[in-house]
Amino acid sequence: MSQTGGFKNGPRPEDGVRSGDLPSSDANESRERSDRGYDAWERQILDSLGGDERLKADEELQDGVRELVENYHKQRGMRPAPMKVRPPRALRSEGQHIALYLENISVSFDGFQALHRLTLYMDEGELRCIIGPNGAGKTTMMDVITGKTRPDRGVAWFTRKCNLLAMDEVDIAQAGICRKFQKPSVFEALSVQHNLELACSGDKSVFGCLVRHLTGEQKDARDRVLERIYLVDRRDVLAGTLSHGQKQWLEIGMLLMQRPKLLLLDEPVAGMSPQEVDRTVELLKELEGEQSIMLVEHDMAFVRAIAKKVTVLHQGTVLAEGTMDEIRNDPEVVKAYLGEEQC
Amino acid sequence: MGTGRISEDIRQMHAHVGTSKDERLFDGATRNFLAVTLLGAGLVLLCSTLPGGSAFSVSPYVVSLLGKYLCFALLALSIDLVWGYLGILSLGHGAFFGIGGYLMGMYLMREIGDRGVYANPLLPDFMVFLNWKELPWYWWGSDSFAFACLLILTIPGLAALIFGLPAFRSRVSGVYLSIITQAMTYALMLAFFRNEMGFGGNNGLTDFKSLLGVSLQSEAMGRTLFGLTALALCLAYLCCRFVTVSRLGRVFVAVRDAESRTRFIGYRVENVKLAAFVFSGVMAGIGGALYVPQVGIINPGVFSPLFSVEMVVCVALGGRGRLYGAVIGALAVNFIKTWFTTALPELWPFFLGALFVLVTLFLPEGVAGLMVRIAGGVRGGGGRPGDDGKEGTGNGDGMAAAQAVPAQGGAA
Repeated sequence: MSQTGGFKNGPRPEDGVRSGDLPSSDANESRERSDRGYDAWERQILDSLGGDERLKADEELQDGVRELVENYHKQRGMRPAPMKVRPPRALRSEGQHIALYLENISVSFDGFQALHRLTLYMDEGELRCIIGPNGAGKTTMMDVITGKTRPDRGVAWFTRKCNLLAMDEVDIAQAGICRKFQKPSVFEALSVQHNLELACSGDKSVFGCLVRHLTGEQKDARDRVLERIYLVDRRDVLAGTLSHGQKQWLEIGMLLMQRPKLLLLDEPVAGMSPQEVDRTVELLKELEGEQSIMLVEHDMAFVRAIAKKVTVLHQGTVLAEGTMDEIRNDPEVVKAYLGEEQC
Repeated sequence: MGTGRISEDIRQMHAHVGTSKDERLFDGATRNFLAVTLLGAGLVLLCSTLPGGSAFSVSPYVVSLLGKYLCFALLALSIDLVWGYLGILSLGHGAFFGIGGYLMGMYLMREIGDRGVYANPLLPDFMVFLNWKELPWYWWGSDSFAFACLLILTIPGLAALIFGLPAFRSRVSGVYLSIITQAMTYALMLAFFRNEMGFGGNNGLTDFKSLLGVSLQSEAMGRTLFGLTALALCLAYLCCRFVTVSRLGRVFVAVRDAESRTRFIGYRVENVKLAAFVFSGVMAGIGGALYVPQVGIINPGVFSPLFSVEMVVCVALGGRGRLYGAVIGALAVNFIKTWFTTALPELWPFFLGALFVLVTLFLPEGVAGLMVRIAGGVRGGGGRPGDDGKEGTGNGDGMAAAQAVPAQGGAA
């Protein structure tokens, strides 16, 4: 591996892993060799473990090494070298198609633990529903994924290329993670069509926006999306004048214009009429497979209509995961969630 | 917070205009603006050549006064671009205007040469008076008009960049940004008041004689400067129009109404703001540079927060987010100011304050909004009853716009 910068300053296998016992400047000369040595050593350990244990060990190893390096620098009054974190082993191995990889994510606000060691994996093209009582951490999780909130600890990767914790909102959006907020937030002072054009994937630099017009391809994409979200005849209308349900669709349409790889939807059918919900179900079912979708929803009928795999969050951590039927029969879940809100 | 209300007002204002917003560069309003400005300026120039006794003659004093108003209009336009379209309420735009003005003033000082009181061919009078032996390094090249022009086009923009970069990067916005823009111009005022700065202290730069060898007192020079200012205003208007009808203009509106949402669809909001702020600073600087030769003096007063706030009041009075509104506001307020400060000088600040309050309460869209409404009423044959009720309550949700849309859909 070429991008193992973080480990270059780390312990070599022959050093043993004791605090303060790290290699000094001579690490430079034998960097290549020790790197290879380290990799082999690491693989040996990890291979002796299996499955989930192995994943966990990998993360703990990375965490441990990071801590060691930090201590090493702190003791010597040096500024810690910037660590280039490499993707977790699960993402590096061949044949895996994990789109979203969250592990041991913890977030706390003023002592309130919003997320507690949350671990969640999503495959490419998967449609995943997230349910959970109020305050379970659903929205905070989306905040972490989109870069709005930084977790206190944990690992978050989007495919093997993007370390989400090292990127800001704009980078993350440009990498293909798009989010629909709970409250419909379209640009009300712009027309429906312009809202879509604004979201359109492509050159989003200041200069590009100033001088370049939309390409024919982008216009076609816009027209297709307009059709898909049932707003063709309202394209020149200001978004502020749309009904609530139409605003929700427009927002989904804006997400589609961005050609996302991962779509995060926060309560997309809240406040919709039953007919509108039906059309939204159709819309989302069409999308499944094209991109991974993560959906947070309270409306159980809607979840049942759409979901294959459901994850239940409770008090900031994953309580259960499985099909809707499995979830419904899980005693823990019944106690925590469905018990209060029988559907 | 006040800005919430303001942005709500702006949103409504746009909702009111509906979809009829023409997206061509030369829409009706732009054509009217250019026609009125150019014809008006031409008329003034024509009348100024008439002999003094004629009823229509315009004195050189009035020409330079109108030129001054047009410079203020340019400054107001630059404020409107960032305030009306991007929601950045800058209470320190006078700083860029002042920097442009000082750069022009430096050239004019050097142009005096040995015609000054102390007849020193190299040093301006105030430096001789301070017993300085040589020019400070930053006066280097100030004797060249071309170099001065280059600086005028770059330094105010650079100042806007230096200010905007940390401010927008650290995501300061709203009231806090307004406060630091005010602090910036205040700091500059204090600095320029000091004699050691080398810009003439509280007297500023004055006693100019000529520009490119032509006397500033000559009528031809006055007319040329006035004409140039009118042209610069038209050009700046067109540039602003070009920006606001482009895709970037729509990004502006998006940033103004929902900044973080715009970030989440992948726009670097800080770059957008910075670009607009720098462009606006350049415009303000050009305004300042044209202002100085016509007025004959530049002093630290232009850096005073009051001046910048006055210009913001002009924009509010004229109507934000419409470009021509800012120009109307600047001309109107300064016209009243000229009259007031000769008739009742002590009452001017009170009048200005009252004007701002009344406009905010009764004309949230400014004079331009009123004009649009009247024009719409005439065109629509009696107005739409829903509108007035909505404007009064201040928080309808696009009802009026919903009514406006079908009517205008056909035209678009």
